[in-house]
Amino acid sequence: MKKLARHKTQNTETELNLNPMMDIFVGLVPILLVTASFSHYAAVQTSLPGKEVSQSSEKPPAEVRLTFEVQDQFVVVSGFDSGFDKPVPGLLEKFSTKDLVKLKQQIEALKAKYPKFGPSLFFATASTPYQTAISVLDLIKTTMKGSEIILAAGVVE
Amino acid sequence: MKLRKIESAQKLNLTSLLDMMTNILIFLIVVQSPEEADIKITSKSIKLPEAETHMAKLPPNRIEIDNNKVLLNGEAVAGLEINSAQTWKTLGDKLITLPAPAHGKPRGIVVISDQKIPYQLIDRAASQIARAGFSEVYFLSDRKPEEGKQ
Repeated sequence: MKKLARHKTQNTETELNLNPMMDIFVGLVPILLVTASFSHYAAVQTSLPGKEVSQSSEKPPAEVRLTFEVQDQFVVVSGFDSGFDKPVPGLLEKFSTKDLVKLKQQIEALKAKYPKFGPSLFFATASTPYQTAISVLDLIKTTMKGSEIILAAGVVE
Repeated sequence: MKLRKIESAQKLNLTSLLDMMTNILIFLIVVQSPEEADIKITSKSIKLPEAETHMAKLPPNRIEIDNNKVLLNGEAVAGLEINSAQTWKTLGDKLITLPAPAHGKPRGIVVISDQKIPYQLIDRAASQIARAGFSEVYFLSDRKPEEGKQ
């Protein structure tokens, strides 16, 4: 009986004191709950025309600049030279906004065909829903990684 | 012997509670994103469009465009009629007065708008943003869930 009692005392002595750890956790959990954000945002970045875009004639002629015009149900893609003056022959296509996979495929095909892209121009018609414009913009941004997109502002009335 | 039994029975077992707290703590650390927590949308009626592009470090200034009001950094732009082109200049004038960022950094602004509004309103805002000398616009969106996770 005596031996058993001693054994029990030894067991309680080795037990960890969890109270300070609990205190820290109880403090940390409300702090993290308050500062945590459970909604996940994305941000589509574009440039505005005020920003200087280099247009030197030294650039190789292979550089193509694309324009994306969103017209309610369609996206018109066209290609121009580095000054947006001369259209690239055969580079004018229309895609449905309902099926953006084809637009993605076309951009990827263009990327393979033309090694260098200059900044692209984006604009949408007045009645285009914001969601449609963002979907197209997002697709361009994710497909043409690293390429600058200039928002043509003040053209819609 | 009897006294010892009572003492041990009265002691709370914190192990299970600690396990639970550890799990909660790990979960909160994983989901926590301080950058996203900084974004505060004043208009509760705004439903953001969806996009896949990852979050970038956003500039502090923001414009909220709803169907009937425009807010600049959380404050309604006085006298702004959404359909009058003239009054949009008020917004442009207010944008000009905003402090410039630290040297070398591009002047950017976040546009927060409802997914259903016509693009015309965005265009009007963008032209005023460009007039005020801003060079970058970030369109805030809800992150589209990845295909595999749907």
